Amino acid sequence: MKFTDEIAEEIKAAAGKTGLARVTPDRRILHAAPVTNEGAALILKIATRERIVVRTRLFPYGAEESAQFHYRVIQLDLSRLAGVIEYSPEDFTIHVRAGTPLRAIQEAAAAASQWLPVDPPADNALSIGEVIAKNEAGPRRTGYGPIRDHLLGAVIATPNGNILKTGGAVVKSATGYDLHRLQAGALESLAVGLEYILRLRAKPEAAATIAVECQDRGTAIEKALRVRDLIDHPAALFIISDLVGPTRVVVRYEGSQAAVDVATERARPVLGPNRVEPAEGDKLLMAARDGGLEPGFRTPGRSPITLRIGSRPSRIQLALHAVTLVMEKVHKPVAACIHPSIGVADLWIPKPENADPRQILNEARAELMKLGGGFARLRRPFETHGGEPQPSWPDSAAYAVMARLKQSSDPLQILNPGVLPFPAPADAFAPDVPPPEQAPAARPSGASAQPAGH
Amino acid sequence: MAHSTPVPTSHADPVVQELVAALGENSVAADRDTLLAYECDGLALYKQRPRMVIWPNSTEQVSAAVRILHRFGVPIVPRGAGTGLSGGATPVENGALIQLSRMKRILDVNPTDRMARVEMGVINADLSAHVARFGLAYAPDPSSQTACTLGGNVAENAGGPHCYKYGATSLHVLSLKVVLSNGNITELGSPDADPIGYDLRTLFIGSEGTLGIATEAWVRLIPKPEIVETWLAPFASMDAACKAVSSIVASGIQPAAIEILDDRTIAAIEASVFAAGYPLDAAAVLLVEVDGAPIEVGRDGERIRGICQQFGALNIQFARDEDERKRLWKGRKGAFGAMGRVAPDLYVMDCVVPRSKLPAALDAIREICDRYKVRNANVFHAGDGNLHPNISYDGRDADETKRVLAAGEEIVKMCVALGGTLSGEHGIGIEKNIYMPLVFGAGELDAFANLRRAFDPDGLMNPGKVMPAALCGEIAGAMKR
Repeated sequence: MKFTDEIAEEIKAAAGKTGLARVTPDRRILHAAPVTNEGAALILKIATRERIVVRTRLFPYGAEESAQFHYRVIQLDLSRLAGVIEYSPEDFTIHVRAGTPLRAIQEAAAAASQWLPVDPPADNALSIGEVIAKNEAGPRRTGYGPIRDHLLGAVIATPNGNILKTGGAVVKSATGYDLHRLQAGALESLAVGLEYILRLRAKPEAAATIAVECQDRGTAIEKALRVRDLIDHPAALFIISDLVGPTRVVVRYEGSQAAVDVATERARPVLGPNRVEPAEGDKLLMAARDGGLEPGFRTPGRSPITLRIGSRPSRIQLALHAVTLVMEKVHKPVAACIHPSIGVADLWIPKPENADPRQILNEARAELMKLGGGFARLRRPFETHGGEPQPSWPDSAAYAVMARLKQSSDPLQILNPGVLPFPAPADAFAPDVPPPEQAPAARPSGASAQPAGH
Repeated sequence: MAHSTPVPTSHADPVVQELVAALGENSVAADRDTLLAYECDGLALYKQRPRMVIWPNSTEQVSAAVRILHRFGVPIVPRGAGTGLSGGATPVENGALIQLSRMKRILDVNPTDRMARVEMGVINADLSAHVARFGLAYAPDPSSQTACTLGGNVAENAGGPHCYKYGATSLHVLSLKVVLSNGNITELGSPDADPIGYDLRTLFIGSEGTLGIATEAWVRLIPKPEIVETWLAPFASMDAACKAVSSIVASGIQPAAIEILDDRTIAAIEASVFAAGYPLDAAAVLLVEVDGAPIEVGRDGERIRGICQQFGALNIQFARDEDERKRLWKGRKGAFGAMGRVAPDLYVMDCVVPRSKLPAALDAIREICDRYKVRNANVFHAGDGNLHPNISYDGRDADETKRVLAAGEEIVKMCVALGGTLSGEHGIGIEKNIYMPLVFGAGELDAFANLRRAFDPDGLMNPGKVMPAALCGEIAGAMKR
């Protein structure tokens, strides 16, 4: 089953005159870039009607990989749904389309000395839709929280073609259910974000970065937590332990010049007089932000395996040690960027040939369970799910609720299937999945894992 | 599947019998006198006697009770201290009220991780008092914090004056232990960072008891600020006070709290036991607090004073010590109580507008209340655009009550027309569920219903709340079919 001319034409019409709808020569992938919300919603509606898988352009795991498992895939590109709809500096809110690059939002806000204090990887090139779908964050998450904390409202399109608006341009709301925040981190598996309303902050007038070398990660974590316990709240606090330099504790203070100076002075007994030049500070922040994209790992064929650990400050050192041992079985040394005050760390190694990232992940999860808790996920390569049981799935009742949410939002599972571990619909061959004898590999969303009761 | 049963009034009720057998005689009541005290929460406009009240003392007891209620198809309303102002804990007909006030243990405090594990019946202010020895505090501070429970705060995503800087409850709860409507116990979120899957924790917070019953939580604690400075700036006009707020916010200063009280509120406070020395000749007072490092607090305080003077503030009061700070806050925190002197009943409203629309909204509120001849006073979180129009009335006067409700409806519609929304922190409950179609279309309401069904397929959790009644009926009908 391939894209017919009729369906291709219908999607092309939905994409709009200035939009894009192009079918690949094998007629199995259709790239669609609509220019209106209604067009995007209509494409989803067509996809549901025709049981065609939709991949939004969020992940390295995209249409090509998906086409291995499905007859037809729509690659939905929202980059043409871009731009600032409304910016209200006096209310510190901005309303933007989902395809707006983060950089463009920062530029618009800078005109009023405001900013969105998030710094996800990839140098602001990500669109705001991608940042929200992944609840992506960088080192400033320590000081300002993830993007979810700045999200006030959204316009989303559901797989049945409805356009829904939740939240709004007020900084506080207890009205209805927080559907918009539910989208943060949902990897566009429930709905596709079209517009977002975000809360901005005043841009700090000054910043200072202090960096100090440490003998080992343990000492670095101990120092970092001492800095955390000082009265001044850092914007970022992390440990870089990569392959090209020594292990360093880095703390970044942002605020008024006076406050930054005082904070720097108060950190001196722990970190010494190690304030770095602004350019060097920015470079360190960038290194932490892009953890796993270190230049040494960018060589062709040597893409990294990056594992994210979620723990808590008091356990991060043990968790780090356990997961490092797992990764060292595959490659030594293991580079790391650790955010001890929020209990998060990224660990990465160059991907050796024949290495199985899922095996590393599962072993890491098992080690964390032995320690009493914590989470691990693959950041690179992007983690996808088959029907296998999820070793770290914490709670069957919560899982059942999530599965029902997915089922009610996207009953045929056309939307980014496999990005979260949910069972396939009752009809095992929907949506548009070839029968097993024709499939080149396991289906990306399997039928074996069933909810264990609500 | 939910099914209805006759309405018994005593221990002859088979549901009560099972509950007593499971939880003990002292944990269940179905006698008229006891039930009378639970007919409403802080929204006294609506009353409904519950079929029974249950006082569990553990998550397991909540689960046991819910399993029984689920089996009999009895609707369930969770209740904390009953201080909610939107009727979220108002009983439903023939329903059970699960009162969590016995679950008030602080189970664990972890200063290293700056978190605490608490039961949901813990009183908000008690948690901050308990963790003060570690130099820590729990940030959300609703005005009712000396009485309201953390469970109620979770249900309403409660805020308070200091949530302008620190955020409302959803930013301070890491995970929740929840009993679902069939009695299953689950954990939403995690004290460990980055849990897998959808963020059900955020979804649950503010869901007003419609998705399940939270029994425990890991909450985030914040370091107590090094110093705090509090200022009270009187203004000759409300407009000037609002402009000062906009200017403070635009300057990039982030006060910990920024509150406005109008002249009628001031008059009520100063005539009450909450008298705080607010100037009676001011049209409005601005209560501002800044916290943090001394050098920054000192600088911000000076800038705030300068801005207030620029907009005509005179005789600015500065709290020179903790006693004076408490005095300045006494008036604000006691404002609702003080209005008890004005009339026997008080309708505390809660709406939000974009901050830039505050002056227009306040003018409109006065005009509406004057037109309906009802007594209005305003106290609000100016930094968030979160208004609390208060209407004093006598509930025994049917005509006045009718005018109060009509004025309230117009105020809600006006706020929505200004780009605002129905509630900033009190929730929707039964007070505003009929207004939900003002801000949400059929598609959104349908999505909410689906979401609710994902947690509670039988529609037993706090039915009739949040969603418009007609839609609730349709949902219930669809479920039965």
